[in-house]
Amino acid sequence: MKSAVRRIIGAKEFTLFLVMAAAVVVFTAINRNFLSLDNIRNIFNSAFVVGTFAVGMSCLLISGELDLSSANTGMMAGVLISLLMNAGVPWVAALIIVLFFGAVTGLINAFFVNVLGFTAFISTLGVSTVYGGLALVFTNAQNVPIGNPAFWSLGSINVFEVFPLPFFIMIILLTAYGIILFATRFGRRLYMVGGNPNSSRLAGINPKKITTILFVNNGVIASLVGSLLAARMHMGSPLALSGSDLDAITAAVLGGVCFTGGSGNMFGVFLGIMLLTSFQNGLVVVGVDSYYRVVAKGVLLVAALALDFYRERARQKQLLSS
Amino acid sequence: MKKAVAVILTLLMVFSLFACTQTTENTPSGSPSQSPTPTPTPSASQPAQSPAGGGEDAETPPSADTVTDVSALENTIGFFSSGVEPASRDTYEIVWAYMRPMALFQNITTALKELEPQLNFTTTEYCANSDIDAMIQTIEIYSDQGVDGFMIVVDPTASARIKEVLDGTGIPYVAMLNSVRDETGSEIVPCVGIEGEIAGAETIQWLYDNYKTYWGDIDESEIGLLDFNFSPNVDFDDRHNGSKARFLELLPGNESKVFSADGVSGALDEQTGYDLASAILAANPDVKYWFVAGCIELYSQGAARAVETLNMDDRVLITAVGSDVLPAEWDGGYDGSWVSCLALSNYQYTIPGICALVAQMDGKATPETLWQSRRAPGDQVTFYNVSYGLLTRDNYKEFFEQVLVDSGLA
Repeated sequence: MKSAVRRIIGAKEFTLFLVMAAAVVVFTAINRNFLSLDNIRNIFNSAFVVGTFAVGMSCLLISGELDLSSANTGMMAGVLISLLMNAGVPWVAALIIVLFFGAVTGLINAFFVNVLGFTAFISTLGVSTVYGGLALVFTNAQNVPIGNPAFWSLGSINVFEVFPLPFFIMIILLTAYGIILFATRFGRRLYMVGGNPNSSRLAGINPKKITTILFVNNGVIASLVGSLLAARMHMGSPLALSGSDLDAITAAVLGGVCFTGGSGNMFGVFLGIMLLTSFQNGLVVVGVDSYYRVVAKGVLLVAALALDFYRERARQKQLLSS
Repeated sequence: MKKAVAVILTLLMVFSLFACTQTTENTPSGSPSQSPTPTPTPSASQPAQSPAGGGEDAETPPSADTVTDVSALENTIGFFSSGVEPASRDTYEIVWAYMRPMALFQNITTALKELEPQLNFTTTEYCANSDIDAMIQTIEIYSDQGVDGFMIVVDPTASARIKEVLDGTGIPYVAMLNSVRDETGSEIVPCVGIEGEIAGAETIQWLYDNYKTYWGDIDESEIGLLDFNFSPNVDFDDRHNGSKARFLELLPGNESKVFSADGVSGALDEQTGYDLASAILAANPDVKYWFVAGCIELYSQGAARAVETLNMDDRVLITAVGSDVLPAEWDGGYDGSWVSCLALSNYQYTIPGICALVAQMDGKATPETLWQSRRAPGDQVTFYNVSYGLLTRDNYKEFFEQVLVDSGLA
């Protein structure tokens, strides 16, 4: 029993949980409506974009890769699905096409990184820029309205009266990917590839195959985010989602995913997402000046990383001494 | 494999460059890669003017006497009938430059393209993608290429530097949207736009005048204001201040129910509007009725979606400055809490702007002589405040049709 408690307290995620609990207590003390059902639903609604991006991004980060095209892939997906539906394509078919587009984007990224040997940072940034420009070309910088209420409901209906559908999807994805990472051979290989690609290659694992799957996976997830956002906003916007992929990386790193690969889990990522989102929401709810909100966001990240650093150092010291 | 791809990419780049060059040659003055001398139109028998503009009277110093008063026909093409027949001079090359992609800027581009044959000019569009340094360098590049004039959205964060560079080129220019003022608040660049504070105030005034249509006879003390802002942009900040001031003027006892939502912590997009609006609306259930004022439409759009999510449609009225998003929603059948917007047609911006620029390039006007009858006291040059209307679902189509008729473009 004692050792179980010690293990929980010693877990990386426990720090995050404490920080989040403290934030919730402070925000609720200042404005008790922070914990109102409506506001909790708002937090869930706000969390889904960054959170769903973070699922695919975390897998990539754990494998030692990075995808900076996620936000613009999502944006492009939103624009495409709007254009397709306006052209008379049923929304289910349009969604499937758009998810396929995401998979193709992932393949393009994987081709640049795995076949041509480009750095993921630069090549995915290039793809992102291309999509940013193409979306402007397709839309002339105009929003593309969607006039299909059945599709709108994807972005706005609540599951069990509390969970917005997009958030619910995010939870399902986090759970599914958490299980894959924790309990499957693919998951273990992914950690090995991220931890030491050369060793994993010598152990008979094909890192390129793994990262190709992850890039495709990330492209599909990004397209799903873009489609759900388009459903919520009733339109595709060529300016949507800018910077969301960086927020997703922030949430993932905050949740304990190692930027250089090899470690992290979906529970930590979930906590990172919820901490980031509830913190931003809380600052608005308690009326903090907008400039300080920007500062606070940065401070939160640095503080969480610092806490994690000291916890990790303490753990290593303890290991060495024992 | 790598080599093959590298070769293909290189060839693609070369072909692209070649294709661009071909386009430039086919359209005489549409690109900065042209020679400094504008290509004459078939009817142009005049000598080529200097890069600083000029046309047939380029060497004659402009004088105030030659400028027609434009106040009477502000929306009509050709109100600068300064005596220069557009077809009789060389085709002007102008650059339309702005900081970031926005629907309004694209619509202005469209309007410029429509006006090109009538005023005998060609347009090169440039978007700096929020990179001020790139904007400044590009101005210099276009200047070296010999363009005749700039229509430019001067970013407020670097307005002094941009003005300095533009002045350094010696090429006529007109600012669009964002006013440029010195430290005393005096306008120093001729600009076509809207007075942000007045626009913000008008949107709130409309909500106040019409809320009974939606809510009936309610207790006014129960009305709160959610006022969007994007404070780094002076113009948006002015709109925010105007809305807030008018709200407090109309409902002085409701000061505690005023909430500012500055998008600076997010982005200029609807998601930021959604996040801010949903948090503020949910966190203040004691405010029974809400006016929501958007300094830009995307924030109002986000707020509209937040209101739908929170099922507050019957307690919130949303408005915005700008009319590129809501009319499209109305076209799609929208009938929710976003009930009005302050309409600004792209033609109402473009026509005064391009006419003023052409008058300067013709040598018939200077920044100081433009729109003198409209100049506000204390301003060194004129801020041309475009006319606008408050649109609802019932009158928006009529408004845009009327603008086209007034412009002579219908």
